[in-house]
Amino acid sequence: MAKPRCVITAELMEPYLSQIKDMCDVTVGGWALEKRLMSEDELIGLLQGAEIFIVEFEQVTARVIDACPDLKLIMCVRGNPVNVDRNACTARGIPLLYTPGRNANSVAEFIVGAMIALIRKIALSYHELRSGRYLGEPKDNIYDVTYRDDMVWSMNDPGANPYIAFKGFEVFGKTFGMVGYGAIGRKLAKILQAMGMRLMAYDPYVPPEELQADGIEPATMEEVFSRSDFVSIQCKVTEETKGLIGAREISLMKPTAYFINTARGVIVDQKALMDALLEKRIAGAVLDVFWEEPLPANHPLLQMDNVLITPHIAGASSDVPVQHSLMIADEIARFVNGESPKRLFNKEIIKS
Amino acid sequence: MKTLITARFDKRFLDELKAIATDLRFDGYGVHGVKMATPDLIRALEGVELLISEFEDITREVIEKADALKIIVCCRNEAFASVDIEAATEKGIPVLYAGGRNAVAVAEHTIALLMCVSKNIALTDHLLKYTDELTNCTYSDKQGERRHVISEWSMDPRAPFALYGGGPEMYGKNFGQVGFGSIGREVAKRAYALGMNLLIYDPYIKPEDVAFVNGKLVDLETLMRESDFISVNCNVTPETRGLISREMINLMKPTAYLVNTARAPIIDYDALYDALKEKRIAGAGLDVFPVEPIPAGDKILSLKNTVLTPHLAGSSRDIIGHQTEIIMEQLKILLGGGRPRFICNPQVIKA
Repeated sequence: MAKPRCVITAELMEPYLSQIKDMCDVTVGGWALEKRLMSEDELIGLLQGAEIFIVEFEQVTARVIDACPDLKLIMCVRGNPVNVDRNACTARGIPLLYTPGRNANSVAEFIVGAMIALIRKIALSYHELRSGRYLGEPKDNIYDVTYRDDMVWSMNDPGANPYIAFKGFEVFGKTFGMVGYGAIGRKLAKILQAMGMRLMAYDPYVPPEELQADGIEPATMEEVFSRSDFVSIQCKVTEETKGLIGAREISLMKPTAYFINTARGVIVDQKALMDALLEKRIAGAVLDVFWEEPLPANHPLLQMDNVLITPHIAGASSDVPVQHSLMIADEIARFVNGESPKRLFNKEIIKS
Repeated sequence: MKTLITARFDKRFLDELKAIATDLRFDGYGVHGVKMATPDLIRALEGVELLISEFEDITREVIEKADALKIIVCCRNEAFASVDIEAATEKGIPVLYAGGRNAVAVAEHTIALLMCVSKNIALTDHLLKYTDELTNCTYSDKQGERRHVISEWSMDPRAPFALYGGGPEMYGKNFGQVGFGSIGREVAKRAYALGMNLLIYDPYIKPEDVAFVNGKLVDLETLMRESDFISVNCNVTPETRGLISREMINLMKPTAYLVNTARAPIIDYDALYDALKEKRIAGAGLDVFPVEPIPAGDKILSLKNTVLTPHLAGSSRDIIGHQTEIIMEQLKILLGGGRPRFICNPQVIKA
C-alpha cells in the first residue's frame, strides 16, 4: 500500500520526524523550512495531492481547504489551532487535530519565574545594575580582593542599600487563584503547591471534586478575584472568554494583589486593567500578552516598575516542538492504522 | 519568665510567647529599627531571664552583667555575628538561633533567577521598557492583513519569539545541587516539583537524606558534567572556597545554566566570566559577587546571558514570620527538656 502524502510546514523534531517519514511520503516547506510563513497561494500549490497537512503558523483558510481536494487530515501543532478554519474543515469532513498542552510546562515554569522575578525585584534590580546604579567605585582589577566570607552590599546608607530598596516577599504561604484549570493550570498547581502556596481555581467545566482531588479549592470568579494574592488567567480564547475579565472582576482584587496574564490579551478588558494599575488599586502585574502586539512604543505599561512585561514568549521553550512532535507522530500512527484520533479539535465532525 | 524582645517578632505567635513569657517587653531594633546601645541593653536586661534578640550586639559585657539571664535566642541564622557565644557558654546560657530563616526566600530567588536567565524574562523586560528594540520596529510578516493579527508579536525571525524564546524547560532536565543544607533542601524540593532529576553533591549527606526528592548523590565532576542547571548552596569554608574552579566550570555542558545565591568565593568568577563570554555555557544567574557593590564598569555587567541581582536572595519581608516560627519551636523544645536543633552551644544542655 502506498504511503499517504504528507506536507509539513510545522517545526517537527527527531526522532518523531523520522517516525513520520517512515509512515508517510513527506514534503517539508514553509515555516518549517525557512522560518517564513507561506501565503494562501503558495500553500495551495504545495498541498496538491497531499492527504495530510501538518501546520503550525500558516493561515489555513476555507479557500486553501477548498482548493486542496485530496486533504483527509489537518494537524495543527498548537494548543489552540486559531490559524485553521475549523468550520471549513468540518464542512468538508476533515478532522482537525491539535496538540493541547504542548507548551504547558513551558508556560507554567514561565509564570513561576516571572511572578517571583517581579515580587523579588529581579528584573528591576537587574535593570538598575545594567544602567549603572547601585555600583561601587571602578577598580583596575576586580579579582584583586581579599575575600570576606560574609558580605553586604552596603549598610551605611539605607537609600543606597539594594537589600532594603528591593526588599520583596515570598510566594510561600500566599494564595494563587486561577481562572481556568486546563493543561497549564494542572502543571502550575503542582509546582506552586510544592512552593507552599494555597491554590484556588474557577473553571465551570471542571467538577469541584476534581479540583479538590488535586488539592485546589473550587471557587467562583468573585472568590478568585477577592481572595487571591495572585490572580492568573489560564484559559483559551473562546467566544465565552473574550472580555471575560472586566472592571467588576478587577475591582474585587486586594490592593496588595498581582494580576498575571500569559493567556491572551483579549480575555482581559484593557482599560479596566490599566485603570487599576494607573490608580494603584492593585499591586502590579505580570503580562506576556497584550491587546496589540508588538506593544505600542508609547504604552504606559512600559513605564511601570510594578509590572513585569515580556514579549509573548511564555510558551516559546525549545522543548515545545519536542512535545508536539511526539503527539503528532502518535496521531499519524493512529491515522495509518485506521484508529480514531485522540486530539480531535472539531469534535462536531463525529456527529455530522 | 521575664522577657525582653529586641527582635522583629511576628504577632501571630504572641499568644504562644505569652504562655512562656509572663512579663514581656518589646524594645530595640524590633520596635525602632535601630540597635539598642550597650548601656541601655544592660539596664533593660535587669531581672530578665529570656532575651530574644536579632541584631543587637550581645557582648561579653552584656552577658556578664545580666545576672538573671537563663536563655538567649538570636533570630539570625548567624547568631555568632551578634552574640558572644563563648561568654554565654561560660555562664551556661544556651544560645538558640533561627536556622534557615531565609531558606525559603533564597530558594525562591534561586529558582526564579534560573528561570529569568534561561527564559530571558529579565532581559526582555529590560529591552521592552528601556530600549525601543522590540516595540519601535517593523517586522516583515506584520504587514497588510497580518498587521491586525494581535494574538502574536510576530513570526519574523528578528521578532522576540525567535530571538528570545527557545530556552529550555526545567521539566525532565538534570538539576545539580551543590550543598544540601537548609537552603539546598528548599531549592531541591522546588526543583523536584518542577519535574527535574536531582544530582546532589554534599560530602556530609547520606543517600537516605536525599530520598525525599528522589535525589542521587554524585561527585562534583559528575554533577558539573551531567547537569543542565546547577545551583550552589553551601557556606564558605576552607573546603568550599574555590570549589567551583576553572576545571569544574570547563566540565559544564554548553547548554547548562549556573546560579549562585550563596557566596562568591565558592566560584572562580574569572573563569565563569570567560565561559559566559565565550558562550561555553548557556548562562548564569548571580546574586553574589567578588566585590560588593559591583565596581562600575565591571566586565560582568556587560554579559547578555547573565542576570545579576545585588545580593537580594535573602531580602524578604516574610523572614520575620519564618524566624519567629523557628525560634518559638526551638524555645518550646528547650523548655520541654529536649534538644533543640538550632543551638550554638549544645554542650550547655549536657551539663
